[in-house]
Amino acid sequence: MTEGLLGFAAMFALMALRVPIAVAMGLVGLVGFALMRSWPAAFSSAAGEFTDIGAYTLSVVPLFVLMGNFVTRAGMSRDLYQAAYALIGHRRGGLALSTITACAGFGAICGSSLATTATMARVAMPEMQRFHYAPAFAAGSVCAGATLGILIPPSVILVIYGIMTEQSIGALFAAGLLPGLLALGCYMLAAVWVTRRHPHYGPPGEKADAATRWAAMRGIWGVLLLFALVMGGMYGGLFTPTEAAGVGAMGGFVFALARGALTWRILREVLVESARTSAMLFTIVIGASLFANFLNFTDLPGALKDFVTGFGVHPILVIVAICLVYVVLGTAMESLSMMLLTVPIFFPLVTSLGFDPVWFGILVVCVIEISLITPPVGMNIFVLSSVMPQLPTTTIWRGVLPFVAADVVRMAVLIAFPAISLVLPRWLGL
Amino acid sequence: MRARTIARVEIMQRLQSLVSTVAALALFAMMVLTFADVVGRKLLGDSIPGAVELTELCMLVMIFMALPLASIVGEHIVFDLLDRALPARVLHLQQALANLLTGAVFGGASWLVWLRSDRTYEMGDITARLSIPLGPFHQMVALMLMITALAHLLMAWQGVGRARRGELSGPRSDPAVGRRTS
Repeated sequence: MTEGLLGFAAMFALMALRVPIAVAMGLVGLVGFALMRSWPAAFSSAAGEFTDIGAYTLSVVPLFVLMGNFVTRAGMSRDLYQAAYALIGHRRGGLALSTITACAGFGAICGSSLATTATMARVAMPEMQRFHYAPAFAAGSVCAGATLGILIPPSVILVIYGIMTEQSIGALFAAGLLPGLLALGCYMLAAVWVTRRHPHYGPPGEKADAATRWAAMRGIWGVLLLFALVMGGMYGGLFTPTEAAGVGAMGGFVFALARGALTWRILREVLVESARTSAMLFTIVIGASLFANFLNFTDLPGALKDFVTGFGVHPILVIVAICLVYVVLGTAMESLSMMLLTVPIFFPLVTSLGFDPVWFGILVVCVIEISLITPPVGMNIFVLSSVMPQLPTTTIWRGVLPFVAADVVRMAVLIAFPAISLVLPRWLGL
Repeated sequence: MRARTIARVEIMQRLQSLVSTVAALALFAMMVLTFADVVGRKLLGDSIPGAVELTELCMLVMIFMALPLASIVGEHIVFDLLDRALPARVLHLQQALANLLTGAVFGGASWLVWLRSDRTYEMGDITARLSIPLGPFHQMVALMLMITALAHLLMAWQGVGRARRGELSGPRSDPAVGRRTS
């Protein structure tokens, strides 16, 4: 217990020094493990972490990152937005609804909520300004909509959760789909609610005729095909997640090539950028597994369980408490590192209380989505204000509030009805 | 002195360009291999011999070639909430200290993997299907970890220089760089 707490204290001290979180976790994990077992054992396991990081199942990470980067470069954000606009833009608040839908579609393939914010802001914000949308409402719909993609599969963050907790990535991807659609629905309702209360926040756009709609839909068939191929192949049992990632990356490459978005220079840039991101992610995976090795030797997870069961409360309250801890942590911490830091502690507790690990993974990703838009450290808010410097941060904060409320509702629904997450993986036999 | 600085910069750029190209090629090869293997297995009923282990080796190359690049660009996630509160000079020193420590950690990791690669050679470890020796790959990992360590030490040195000159612009990173997954 004491060792575990000391380990956490040491790690926070290193983090406050601005040491990369991966390095802080790895160092504390190694030293802690060595002190509790022996130095040779610690050295040997650390060296193994580095040489074994090339395991085949992990190749799903760089390949999905690569697919997302290809699709981002192919410039499909505008087409997606136009397609959504042609369908629902003429309703009250229609541009915000289109923005949220396009963000969800783009984010699902792209897999990065920050890249989605940056990309969609450039496409959607000028349109909403043209129709005199309230700046806060417009900004809020971009920031919130951009979080949807990390839950809707394929999702890199779910893959990382799967690697850390040794859960089936296919099952996690299946589990993420319905909650992702539920989240999309909640955001749409939030937008409708805002425009019902303040109609001047989001006046309707122009109604598109059938020909325009048809043309807009034709613009996005490539993306839809790619998504259908990757997800359909995986859900249909045709591909393993790794194979789906390979097919998806190749599809993204062909897609970008066909749209004339690739020169040699850009191709090299996309590849190097994806490799860099993967290197960063794998450094974290190595650091986190060293840290988790150490925590497993302390009795901290067990002590936490005894502490919690000592209260004699209903297990579901423990889940609610964990979610609250995440939301509070998420206001101040970067989301991926928050997950890596806490999962080694919370995961044994949650599974020992008899909860489904896949369902918990979905909840974790949902709270991470919330942490991306809650001040003061909401990364999506930072990205939006760096893309739109004229927009005051406080305005964006005000704009995301209704969506944060929608998130709270969604969390409650997901906790109350685990079936929403679990029905699809069970039905598919994953 | 000046000419030497320019020569040093040029060597650094060449080195960066080299590891970038190797990382890019390795990632592209991973993609093509995985795709071709799937197509071969599902449509033609025959897989590429050793595709899995080739993918694994490509991934090892890709990750560790890209590691120093990630360090230089500042892609690693840091806790930067305190940045706004600290004056630029303190921030530079803090940055230097963090880089020094990070460099030491990567250097230590390089040494551990180097010891491991000795053992890999001794045991004569090879891949299962194509019998590719693993030793050189493990040595490559150790070498790239050392280069990453040196990159961090260099950044620590630069941080000290900035603090001494009293530069006001802090090492704040663009929120859009890195953290591409969240």
